[in-house]
Amino acid sequence: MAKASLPEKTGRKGKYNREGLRLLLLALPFVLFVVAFSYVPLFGWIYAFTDYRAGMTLFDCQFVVLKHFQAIWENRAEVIRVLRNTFALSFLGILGSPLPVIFAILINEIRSSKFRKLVQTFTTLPNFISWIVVFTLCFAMFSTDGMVNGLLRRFGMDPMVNPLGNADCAWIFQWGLATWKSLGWSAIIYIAAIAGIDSELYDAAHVDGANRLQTILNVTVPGLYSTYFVLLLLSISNILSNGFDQYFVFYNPLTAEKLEVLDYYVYKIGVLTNNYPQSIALGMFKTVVSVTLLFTANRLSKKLRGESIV
Amino acid sequence: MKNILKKVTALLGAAAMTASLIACGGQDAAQDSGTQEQSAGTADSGESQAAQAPDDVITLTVWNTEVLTPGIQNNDVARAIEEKLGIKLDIVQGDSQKFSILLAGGDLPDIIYTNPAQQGVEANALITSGQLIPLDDLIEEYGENLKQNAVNRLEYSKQYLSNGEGKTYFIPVLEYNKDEENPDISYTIENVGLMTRWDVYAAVGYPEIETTDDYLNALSQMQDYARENDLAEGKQIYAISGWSDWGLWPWWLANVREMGYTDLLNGAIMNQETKEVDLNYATDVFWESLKFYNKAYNMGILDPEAFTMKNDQFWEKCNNGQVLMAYASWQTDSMNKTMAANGHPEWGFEKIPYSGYPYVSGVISGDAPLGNGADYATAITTNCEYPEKAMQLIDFCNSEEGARLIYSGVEGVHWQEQDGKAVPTDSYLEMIKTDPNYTSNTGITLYNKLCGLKETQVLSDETPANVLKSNEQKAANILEIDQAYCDYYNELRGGEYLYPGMVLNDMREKGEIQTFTDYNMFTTLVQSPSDETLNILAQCDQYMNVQGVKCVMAKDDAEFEALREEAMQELEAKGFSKAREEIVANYEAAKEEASRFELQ
Repeated sequence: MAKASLPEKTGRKGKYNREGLRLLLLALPFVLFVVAFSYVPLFGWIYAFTDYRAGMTLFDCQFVVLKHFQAIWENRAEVIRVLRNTFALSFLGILGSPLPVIFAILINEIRSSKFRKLVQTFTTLPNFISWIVVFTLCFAMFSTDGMVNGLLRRFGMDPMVNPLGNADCAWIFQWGLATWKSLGWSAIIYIAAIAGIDSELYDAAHVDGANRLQTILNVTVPGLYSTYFVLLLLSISNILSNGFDQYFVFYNPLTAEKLEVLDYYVYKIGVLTNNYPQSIALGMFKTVVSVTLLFTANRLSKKLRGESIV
Repeated sequence: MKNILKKVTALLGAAAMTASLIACGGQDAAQDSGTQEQSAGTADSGESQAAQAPDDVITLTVWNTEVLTPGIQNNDVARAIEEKLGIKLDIVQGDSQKFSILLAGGDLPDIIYTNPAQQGVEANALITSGQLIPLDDLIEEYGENLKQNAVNRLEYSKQYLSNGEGKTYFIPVLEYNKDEENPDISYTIENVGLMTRWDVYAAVGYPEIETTDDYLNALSQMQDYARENDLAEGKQIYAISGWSDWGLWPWWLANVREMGYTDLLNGAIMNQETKEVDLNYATDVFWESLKFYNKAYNMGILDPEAFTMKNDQFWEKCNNGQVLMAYASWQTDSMNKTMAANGHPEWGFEKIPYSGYPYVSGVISGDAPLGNGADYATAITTNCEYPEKAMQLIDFCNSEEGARLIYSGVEGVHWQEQDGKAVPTDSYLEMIKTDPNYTSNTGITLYNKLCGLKETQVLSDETPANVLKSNEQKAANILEIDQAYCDYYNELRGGEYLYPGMVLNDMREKGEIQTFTDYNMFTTLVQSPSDETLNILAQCDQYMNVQGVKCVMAKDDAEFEALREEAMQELEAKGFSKAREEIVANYEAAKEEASRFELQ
């Protein structure tokens, strides 16, 4: 029996190997990419345990064990402030995460395809504008001679509205900008997900007498659940990564208290104060927290919804 | 067939992507620079290459933070250098972050300069990185001008900028030896100082100023006048503005200098009278400076956008007439010309001598036999494939011919010899009047940080390296606003002032104002602080960049004092006292050293 099945097994294996090899070769560049840019740099973590300064080689560095982790601990008041800002901005982002879903549904409901494409194009475009251009636009709008203050002056109102230098509204303002910039882009995946919902479900709802709102609530929204939760899980794992560019260009002494997020802080410690080892130690901390958060959220999702991504 | 084609295409695609990924990792600095016109080699092999092909034009990458047109230089001065030496200049421009990253990656350009204050990397750290080459042999072979003109600078470099190795790694630049009998009187002031819109000051009736409060009140009157008369064509006008991307720079440096303190490296300042050195945050003058701007803020004459704007936006506002006070002559020299070129020759910034502070910095040029010391000292890196050519360039820049080219442009085009002296050509004078960017577009003064001599240094033809800096030329090329300033003081004091600096110099000679004339060698001989101290100071600076602005924006004296107290406590927690102790000790040791170092 075993002998009889052997050629068949070998044949399957040969076929599997040819196909597998082809797939493997196709995947190889991406695997190499991940190894080169995600795993090889992990070697740099070693510098967090040395007294490295720009220009030295690893062999010149003295091994200082946990000195830089200790320094972070001693600076914990500052680190806590930075984490507060990071979490606040990330949570605002997560709170706003249903917005692209709503936007995608609304776009999907537009009957005129020309108008739908126009709206989609206009809302996707800001994603491609760099943050420095966004800063320049904001400065042009909100400076003392800008459009907003000019209008206020014309109506005889107090002309000093400058969210760029107002710490009280810094979080909301930055969240608003990030949302404006990414709304259309983020909605694309949901628009694709809506397109993937079985049209028979819509027909059935129609036959059952559902109106547009009922169709959205009972067909479209449930159809988007799994996409939404996958993206939510990923955004939870990225909770410590607010991005750097946005806060780099909008950072100034007036808003520093609110806009100094972890990514900016790592830059400040590493590049501005030339303390690369400590910035690497901070980066390690960030990675460990992010991985922990990802697995925690994944487990929670598995327990509550029976779905997970890992 | 179709399937085979698909498979082949997919495999080829995958192979191409893999190859590109691998190639990505292999890219090095030599490829990055991309501008070398000859094939690669190491620093060691450079000698043979230079020897084999002396007539070929090669490209040298040169670090510079100030040239705003990076890349291969194509202007009159750069072309003259290329013709003379067969060297194309490829400027690598950037800030301290870029420098630090280039250093960390081993990607420094062929020629660099050190500037610890600006770049955050000490001269010794550059040597220990192993990325600089010792220059002694190259100087011996190719440095005739250096050996002749830079004796003191080279000796200083060997002793103090060599990490104790006794070799020459750096060539200090910008030497100046003053002429005691005929001192160089600056056109206005030299470098940093509070400059005021003279036309608006005149328009409000030259209010008398004795204290800094008087000065702030005068600025307030000027702001009211400028707004009432809509001097900036509908745009908002503030007496004082600033920028946020240089840290606290606008909020203390000019004021501290006008109180008689000189700023040194690592945030240290020196009392000109007592020669005592301390870290700025620990001195009363630093806090008085912040208090000055705090008062201005509460008087409503400080632009709230000063804390969110970038430096170029400040310049734009000044050029538009929206700001009535600036911080340095290198700002106002350019701004006055720009405003004149933009149709407002009657606008301009000048130094009001009694702005409540006793000192006016840079009325006359002071001695600098060791140049700028570690600041801007030139070095050649191990990335340089043509160290001989790099040394030829550096040597040329330390010659009189090189200094004249760098500061005055090309002979016959921008200057010419007349009765044994160098004078600017008429066309050059005409061009700089009509185009404020003419000098930088032609490369004149653009590469000054490579030059061994200061632009005011009188050369053997008895003319300054920069032909426009002779007293005759200063008087001959006076701007309308400067003339108005001189006319006012001629009438008031009965003098014969031909340009603004003469007014200030007359006051200095009569003891009415003070200026910095002493040469303090010990400030140049000071050793670099430890890495730990540098790290503490960097952290303190980052903290103060925010806390200092909070102080400026304090609502009243009580809040200001509370914020000052809070700042001192936080600085203490960051190890400020420890750093302060080391810095002060280093300067004390340098004073001892100075007594031993003999100038030749």
